[in-house]
Amino acid sequence: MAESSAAARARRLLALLPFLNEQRLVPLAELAAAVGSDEATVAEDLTVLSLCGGDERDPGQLIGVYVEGDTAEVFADLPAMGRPVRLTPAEARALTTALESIGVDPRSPLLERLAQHAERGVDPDVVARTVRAAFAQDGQASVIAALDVASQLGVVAVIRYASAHSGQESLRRVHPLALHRWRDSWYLVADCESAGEQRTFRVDRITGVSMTHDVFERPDGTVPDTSPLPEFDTLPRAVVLFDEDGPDLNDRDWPGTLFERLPDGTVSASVPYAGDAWLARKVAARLGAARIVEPRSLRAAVVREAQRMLADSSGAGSRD
Amino acid sequence: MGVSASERIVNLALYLASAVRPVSANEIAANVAGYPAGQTAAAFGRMFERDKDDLRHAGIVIELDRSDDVERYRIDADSTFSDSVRLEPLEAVELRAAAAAMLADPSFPYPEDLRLALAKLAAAADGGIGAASVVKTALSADEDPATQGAAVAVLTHAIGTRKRASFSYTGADGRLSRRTVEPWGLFARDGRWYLVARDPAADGIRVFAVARTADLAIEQARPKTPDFDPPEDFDVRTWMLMPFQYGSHTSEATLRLSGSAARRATALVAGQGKLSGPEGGPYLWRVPFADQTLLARWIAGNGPGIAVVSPDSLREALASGLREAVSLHG
Repeated sequence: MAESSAAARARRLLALLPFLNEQRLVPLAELAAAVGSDEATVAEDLTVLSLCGGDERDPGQLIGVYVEGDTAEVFADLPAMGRPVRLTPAEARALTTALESIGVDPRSPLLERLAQHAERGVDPDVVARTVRAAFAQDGQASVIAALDVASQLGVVAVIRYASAHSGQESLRRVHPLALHRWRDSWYLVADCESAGEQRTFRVDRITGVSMTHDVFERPDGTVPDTSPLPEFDTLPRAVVLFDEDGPDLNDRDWPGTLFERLPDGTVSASVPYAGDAWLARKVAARLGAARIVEPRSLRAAVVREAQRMLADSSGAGSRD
Repeated sequence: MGVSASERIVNLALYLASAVRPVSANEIAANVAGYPAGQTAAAFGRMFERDKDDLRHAGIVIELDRSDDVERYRIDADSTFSDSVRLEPLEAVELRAAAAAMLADPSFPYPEDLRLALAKLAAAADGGIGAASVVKTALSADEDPATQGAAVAVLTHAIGTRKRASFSYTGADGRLSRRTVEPWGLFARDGRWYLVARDPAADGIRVFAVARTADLAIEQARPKTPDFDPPEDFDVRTWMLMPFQYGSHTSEATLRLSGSAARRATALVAGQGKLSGPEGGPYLWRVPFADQTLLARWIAGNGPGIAVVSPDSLREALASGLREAVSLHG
């Protein structure tokens, strides 16, 4: 059942009170940032708040706060809601879910500590076993945090990055510009000094981050491209023939692909691709149940990829 | 001038917070702006109960005090107030990044709860932990993200109150049916939210893709009385299966994860099976599977660094499939 808007606003107003107790002049922008809202909404909230706190027939008892320009002025002591209010079960769940998204384990000390500040009776185990946002991915939280800091400070970072194709690691000097998330995976958009251009790196392939003493200047006026999918119209297309239809032949697993179901049960697909290696890898992993019809130049890439997989599957057991 | 419901709820909180002793319902009705004058006791009682619930949802718990044979109310300070939360610098950064991602994600089902949790933490912690971050976009669920987020919010409420949920469901085979289930848990994976629920008609536990549900409704009768009790040991993680694990007949495979696969081991195994080995790898992963072909494709698609230890049939299926791919493209 969705919470009523009145109750939702009341929650927001009560969350704003501690900020108003501490300061006399508070920029609306600061309050808006604190409750994740916009200045106009906060101004409206404060107007409602200024009508609270006492008998409507006695204006002297109303809460002494009003909005002027971009600032909220508190001109009288507010009624006592002195100490911070505890988290509610719903808030504890929201935090748990959000933190899982960057790989923090639901049983981490951080979440245990936050759970202690949740309303009495909240069982963190119940919260954790009811809703899971993503699979916990060890190590990502600290990598994401470090990249976030490097980006905010404008500090050049050195990342150790494992290639999806070969698994080989390389060191790259990067200027972190943005982080974004797509289908449970995190990506870093950065200017890569090593490659001399902007690149996108999957965070779960970054095995280490270190800061340098060098700073970089963020490119003026450019917004890093964090769109999760490329523009398919600009990409070349390959024709791939699948032996049979299946639930994974869809636009989510094969973005931008046009499928044609043929009378004999096979499926012909027009697949946009940004790199030979990506498509070769996907086709080889179908284990003979898919083949590239054209361009023929891609067929050699599939052979190489399948042979690499064969060597890997027979050799990995004795490596390390 | 009329008093809005929001004002009344805040008034009630402030009145109780500033009261030096427990107060009676009559005192509340008389002194808190927003309760209509001349209201019957029954009407006041209903309104007051709703407001108490709303305050509980805001984190303010009201306690009934019967110490002198008169029902009086006061804020339960132990359940309502807390000391400041201390966050390490790294934890604060992690919280900021996580919050920024989820607040930018239209499929996140609890944005309001997250905002308020962060506001409370910011008010309590030194230095603040606003959501400013370099996270630009985030999308957990890529199919109808807002619709999935809204449905998950509704289902979360049903799970919490243990009420049955009904919805139309389009199965993987395309058939549409109406289901009434006992919702037990939710999880998100690879761009989709999933509901784990007991389906009494099928007498079994089923996993439903939330994106395939429609006309979702929660049992409205007796809203404060649970319709069911999930098992004490229910853990939604045990239902977060990988594509090759769906099926009735399961066997066990042992895979060896080395090199880059070992470094990504936790993410790769996704909480399934048993991972063993020295820190840093190589690891042995024992994992149940139901579909050998899909497992072989998973191995090929997620390497390098994944080798089959057992069973032999899986190793041979992988090798022969790769040889077939070479032959087809040679």
